Amino acid sequence: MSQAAQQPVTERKSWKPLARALLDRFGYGIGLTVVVLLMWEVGVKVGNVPRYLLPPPSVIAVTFVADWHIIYLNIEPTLIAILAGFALSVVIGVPLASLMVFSHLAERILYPPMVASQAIPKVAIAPLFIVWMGYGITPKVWIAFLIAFFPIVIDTVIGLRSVPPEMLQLGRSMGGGTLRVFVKLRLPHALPNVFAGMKVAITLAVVGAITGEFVGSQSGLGFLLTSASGQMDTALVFAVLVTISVIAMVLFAIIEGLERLAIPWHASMRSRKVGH
Amino acid sequence: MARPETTAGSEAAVVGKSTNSAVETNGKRVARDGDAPLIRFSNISKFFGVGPAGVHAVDDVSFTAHRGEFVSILGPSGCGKSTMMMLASGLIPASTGSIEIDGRRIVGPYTELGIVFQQDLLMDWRRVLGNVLVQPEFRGMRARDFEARAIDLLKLVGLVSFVDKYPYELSGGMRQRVSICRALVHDPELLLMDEPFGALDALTRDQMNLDLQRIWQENKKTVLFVTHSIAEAVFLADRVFVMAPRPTRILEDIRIDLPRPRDLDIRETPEFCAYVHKITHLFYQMGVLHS
Repeated sequence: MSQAAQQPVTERKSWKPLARALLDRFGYGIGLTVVVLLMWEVGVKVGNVPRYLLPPPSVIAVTFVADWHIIYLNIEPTLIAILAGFALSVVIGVPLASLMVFSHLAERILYPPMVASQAIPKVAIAPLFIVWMGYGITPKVWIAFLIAFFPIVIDTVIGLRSVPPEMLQLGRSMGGGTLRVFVKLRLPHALPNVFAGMKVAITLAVVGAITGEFVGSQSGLGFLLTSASGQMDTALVFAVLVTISVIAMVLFAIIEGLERLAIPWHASMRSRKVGH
Repeated sequence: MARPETTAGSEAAVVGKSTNSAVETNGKRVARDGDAPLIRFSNISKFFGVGPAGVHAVDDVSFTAHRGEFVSILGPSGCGKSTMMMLASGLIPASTGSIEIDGRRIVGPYTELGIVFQQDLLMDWRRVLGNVLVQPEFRGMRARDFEARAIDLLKLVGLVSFVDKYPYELSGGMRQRVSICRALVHDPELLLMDEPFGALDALTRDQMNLDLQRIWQENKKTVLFVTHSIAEAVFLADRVFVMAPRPTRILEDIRIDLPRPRDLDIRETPEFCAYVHKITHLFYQMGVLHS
């Protein structure tokens, strides 16, 4: 069989050494950050800005090290709230999306309250949650869930719906019933969208957990944020903000890593490999 | 599986031009089954929608295809040939008339068949072998029992070294070969192919025609093959149904008497050219082609 025109598209192996690749990936970001920090440092010094308004990066770094034990103690409760809220949003969001794809009635019933729940500012209903659930971790988890589940539902619905109709016909011609077509066709087909939703959701879960701690909590990074700003300890506020950003980035990277493991076949993963 | 109860007498009710070419091409099965029809369309019409906005897609189509017969359904693009495939598979119901496969009347999705669509419809998340084995999996059968046959089929189409590749690592022709293996892995009697090579380049298409002929000769399936290429239809088929468009109906049922196996050179023989000429002329008469 002549297959000269049908050679498979093989993956290109990266010829660059690791250091070069890392520089390529992170170099620009690090470079930009350094420039901004330098301008900040110089600007604050030259303009004589008081520290309680805007501390220079060097002072923030010192505070970060000095107050690390306080920050560290408050990471755990926040992290648990984020992860629990995120897990809930996946465990509830994906089946909810499936239900909405299965049944038009469910879609018509569920969509309006879902959209409404997103339109209401979480800060506005957080006090209610605290009245109902107390000062523990529970209200934080539910606020994180409430803000994070929406993108998961929306993206999963899109993914489940975008199976080509011919593919569904093929599934039926192979004798697949509704359930089998769903599990073996729709769900894997929707996986890239589910991951897209999860990436948005994990960052929103961070926002939700912090919001919950803002309104009423005796621990967590959100609580530390409010108490630090109450004491005009602006440097600590910045140090906590940096910590929150790092947590969000790490969680995001973990989801991305899972995505790469779960859907290596998807175009978004392949174009990455070729080096863009 | 129930033996069809039909007799030669009842066949007279169907299109008279039905042939006995199965005798030549399928000696082994004929010895077992006689001249048994596998699929029979009786006065099939299909309307989509109602009233003036409705579309009359298929008009009073009747034919019988025998076991092991290769039938090309030839017509211009968008004339409703695909609708005939959907009707044959029971995925859409006919408006009037009845379809029997293997002596059973089709009322819902008929699953004892393999379908190859114009798009390969491979599942991106499954490797090549997994894409072939999806067929038994969907039927609730143990995929492992079909692995040996899947590998044999992939060998037959020259893809045995690609079993662990993902579809994105294959070319268009290779992907369509995988989808043909998927359609055959459960050894169905009937193979429906809906313009399977329409999206391939001309050279790959020629190669696929040769491959399909070989697969068909080794597996002895009844094939309904929809195409808009006259040469492809004649090259592959025992019979060519020339379809008239809007609504689709069988204009002529032409028996192709060319020796097998056929190679690409046969397309230059006077016999082959006579068939092509005859069909081209029919399309001129219909106004599908005009000078």
